[in-house]
Amino acid sequence: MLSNVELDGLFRNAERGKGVARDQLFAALYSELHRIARRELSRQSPQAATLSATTLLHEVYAELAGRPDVVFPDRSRFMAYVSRAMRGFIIDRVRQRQSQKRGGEFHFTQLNTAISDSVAAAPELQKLSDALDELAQKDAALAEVVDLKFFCGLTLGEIAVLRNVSERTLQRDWEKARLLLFDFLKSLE
Amino acid sequence: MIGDESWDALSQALDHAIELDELERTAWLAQLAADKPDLAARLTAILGGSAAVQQQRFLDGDVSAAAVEMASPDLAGTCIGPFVIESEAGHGGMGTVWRARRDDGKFNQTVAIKFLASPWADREGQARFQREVRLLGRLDHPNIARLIDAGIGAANQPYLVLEFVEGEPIDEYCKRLALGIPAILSLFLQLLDAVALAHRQLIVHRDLKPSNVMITREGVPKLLDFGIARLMGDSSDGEQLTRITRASPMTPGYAAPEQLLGEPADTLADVYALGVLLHELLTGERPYEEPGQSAAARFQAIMADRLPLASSRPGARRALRGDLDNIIAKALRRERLDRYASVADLAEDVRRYLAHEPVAARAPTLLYRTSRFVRRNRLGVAIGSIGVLAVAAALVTALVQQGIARKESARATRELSYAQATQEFLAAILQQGADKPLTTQQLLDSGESLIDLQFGATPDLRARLLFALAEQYGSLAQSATAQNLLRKAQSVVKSSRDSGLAARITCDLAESLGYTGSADQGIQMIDAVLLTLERRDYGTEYASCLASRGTVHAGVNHSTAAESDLRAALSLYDPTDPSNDRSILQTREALAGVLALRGESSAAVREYRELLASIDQLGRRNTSLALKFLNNYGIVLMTAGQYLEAWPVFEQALQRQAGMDAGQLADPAIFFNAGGVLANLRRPQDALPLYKKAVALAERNGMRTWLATLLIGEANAYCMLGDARQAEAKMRESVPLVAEFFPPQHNSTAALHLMMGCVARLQGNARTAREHYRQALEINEALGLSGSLRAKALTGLANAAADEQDLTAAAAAAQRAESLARVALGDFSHSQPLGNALLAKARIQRAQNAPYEQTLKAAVTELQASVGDYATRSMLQAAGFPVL
Repeated sequence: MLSNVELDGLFRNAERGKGVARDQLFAALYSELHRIARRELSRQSPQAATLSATTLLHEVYAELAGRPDVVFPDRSRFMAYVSRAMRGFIIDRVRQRQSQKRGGEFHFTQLNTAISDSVAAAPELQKLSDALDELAQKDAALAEVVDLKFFCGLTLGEIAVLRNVSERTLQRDWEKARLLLFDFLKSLE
Repeated sequence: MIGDESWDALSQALDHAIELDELERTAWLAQLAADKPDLAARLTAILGGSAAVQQQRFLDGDVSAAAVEMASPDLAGTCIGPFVIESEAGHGGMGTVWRARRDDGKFNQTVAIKFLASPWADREGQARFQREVRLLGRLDHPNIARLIDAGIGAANQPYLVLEFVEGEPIDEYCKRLALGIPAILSLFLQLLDAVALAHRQLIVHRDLKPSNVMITREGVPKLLDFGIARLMGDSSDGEQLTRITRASPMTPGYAAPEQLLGEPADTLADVYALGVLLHELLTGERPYEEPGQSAAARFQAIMADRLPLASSRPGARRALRGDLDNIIAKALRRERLDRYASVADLAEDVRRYLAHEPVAARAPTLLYRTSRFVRRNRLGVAIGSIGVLAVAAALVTALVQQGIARKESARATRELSYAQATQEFLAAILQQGADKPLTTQQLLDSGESLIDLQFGATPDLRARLLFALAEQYGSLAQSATAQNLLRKAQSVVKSSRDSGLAARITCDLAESLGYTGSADQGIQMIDAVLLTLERRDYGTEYASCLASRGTVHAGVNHSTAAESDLRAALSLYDPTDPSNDRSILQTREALAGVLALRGESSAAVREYRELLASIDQLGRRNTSLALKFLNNYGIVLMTAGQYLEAWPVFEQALQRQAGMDAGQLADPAIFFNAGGVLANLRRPQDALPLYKKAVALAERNGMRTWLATLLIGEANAYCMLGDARQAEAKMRESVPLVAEFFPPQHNSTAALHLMMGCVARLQGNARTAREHYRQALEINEALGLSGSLRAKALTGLANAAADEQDLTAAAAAAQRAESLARVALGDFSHSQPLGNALLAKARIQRAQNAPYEQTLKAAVTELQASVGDYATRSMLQAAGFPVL
């Protein structure tokens, strides 16, 4: 668990726009995601353990925002940081599970159809992630919409509220992000 | 992905473009292109992905839900009783297994810990859990992994502590050491003894499979998870609902038929699984598994008890023939009571085999009633199993695979009871056929009264079975009967609350109405359904209604509307759900047909080849659906003027149809189209008998829409034969029928005019002929139909004008025909319409005393490639050119 001082420093530096600090913050948030996911899941029965990324996101927020002595960016900035970390968290999870799958045996668990529809597996997710990183360099807000929606499971309505923009605007941003990412991924083929 | 210098400009332009509708966008981009060509090009490329983004639902939904189940917790370091969890040891259908250690000075022991779902939360459940565990604890055999401890931990979480077995699964072990038959059998015998002991203590495994049979480093087989299936599945006794929804863990490849059907599993299910295991160890493959075969097809084979002998597997050892074949087969019988009565009996036979003594298992000299039935009436079973059984199969496998049984128990109960009902229904039908030979027609006809009788009290089931039966009639093109059944199902389903089923019934009825000339009514009905159907809750039904509407649109040549409905349907079907396989194939097929009609023949041909390959892969090669695809593939080739290529397709279709012994249920379309190809290959005398067959079938089954089309073909063939009298007679018959069933703007009406043009020319009435060809052309143009169809009309027009010595008009028509036919070529290098247009052109050039040899040569090249030498010569002759 991060100490409050560490966390405070990371947030401050990231807010000042330091690239390195940002990476450190992502890494820190990533391990927080792990820790909180593990904690939440161990509260449930391991057999039936369920925890959606959305819930996890809110848990992380509730926990970190509640810490004393941390100068905490506003909720929307915070979500943007965590959603980036969440992307890495989920891709690692998918990768981990896939490497554990053994051939030949029948598996009851299937990937959510949403995944198989759009991006099938870890390598695909990784490509998507690279494309998102590149998009973020041009337009960080646009990439965040994708992180929040696709990786964290927030609805466009929720993201609009979070950002205090109209849903219509957000809808447009979403379309735009999808088109740009699709174009990028296609250019890789 | 984005050039640095222009990101802002691109970003702003994209914002703007997204807000525009398609027309505005095109105009705006054109404007921009004049100004900033680079930016416009970049934008066009990005926006070009728009359709694909929508269609593939790119990034729709989210991965967060999927990540959930994957985020199984890391429990390392957690204490469970006296044990400390060290690491994850494996992950399977039953959740995660943890390796744990007890190290309290007295003991030093490594164990496996398994957590169970928590249906044991209440006190009664906990007591039952303790009872079960005590029972399992008594199971003591050197080849069974021991239950060391069990308990209920924090949050009422029950767990089992088991002997930790390190080793490799038995299949890998046998393969790695390349064990011979005796070595495999003696290993297998050890297992059998262990299972027999458990059975004597009334403990059933229920999930026997290689990964549950480990061989330790010392070469000792150890059975894992004995009796645990019961702990994981059963929650409470008594209630009917749990009997159906209780989905105790099993592995479909090893599950006994009764388990697949959701029935309780007893010791005989273990006998079955051991049979699977033996089969796999001896042949390397599981029974019933063929590469590329769908789960539904496998299920169908299992339920029909059609197991090929183990020794018939490619590469199987010869030594399996005889006794071992029989032993395996006896363990794998579909009916429980036909199997070995106990594992001990199975072990006894294996011992006898090893001792070279006669075994109890015999080759089945007495064929089962079902297999007798199969031989006697192949199509009957084909339809029975494809239709009724496949519905059940697809449902059950889909449910099993997705574990829906647990998640949506209400719906699952409904589906499972439907699956069981279809089983009962099928059994009843088969019983009917047990004593006397029945035709498929008779089977189907008795189906309706059986359904009413057996399921009168359950409207849901009754409606679904009527619906399934109607589908069968529909696939036999018996629209009138299908419609009656669907109307009946419609009124039955009203008293149930299954609005998805109601929607499917209505949409099917609407589609069928489309086939019988009431397209408008059909479309209206579907519109009404779609308005009320919740897309979110009934995605599949919504998709299938869209597909129906698209099919109706396609039937009346509304190709744009058809395409958009069919594409929308395809984007809605869940491709991971095997029960959608058939619908997806059918929808893709309909779409390919629309493409062909519009003249995108090359794309259509590619799609059909893929479709035919997938249908083979699904093991549905010999079904009426496959036959329909083959037929329609042939039509696409015909439309593109590739008759030489189309002929073998129909030849194959005719053969397959004969092989299916379809008799009076044969599809007239195949005879008709095969006849059409032959007529165009200038073999009308061969075409006529086929037409006659088609007409007879259509008449007998009251398919009047078909009759209209058939008569056109027949008249055409007579016209080519030069038999003006017969041609005219058929023409007169066809005219009122076409008017009755097809709108004036329809490709069948255009075909009528083409035929009438031919007849008029034959009768020396060029003026009338021109009028008919002109009308055919107008219809084809108005409908935006394929260029080769338009070229056909224009070529007729050119010839008729030339007959009248109106050479200017003739030359113009021939020229247009030629260029349309060229454009229509697509990926094909030659076509008959192009050859025909060139031939007309040459004829006109000759009449104009212009050089024509070049054109004639080109025509011959086209014709030889598309219709062959014989037809080419005959066409040259008809056009008054010397035969080469």
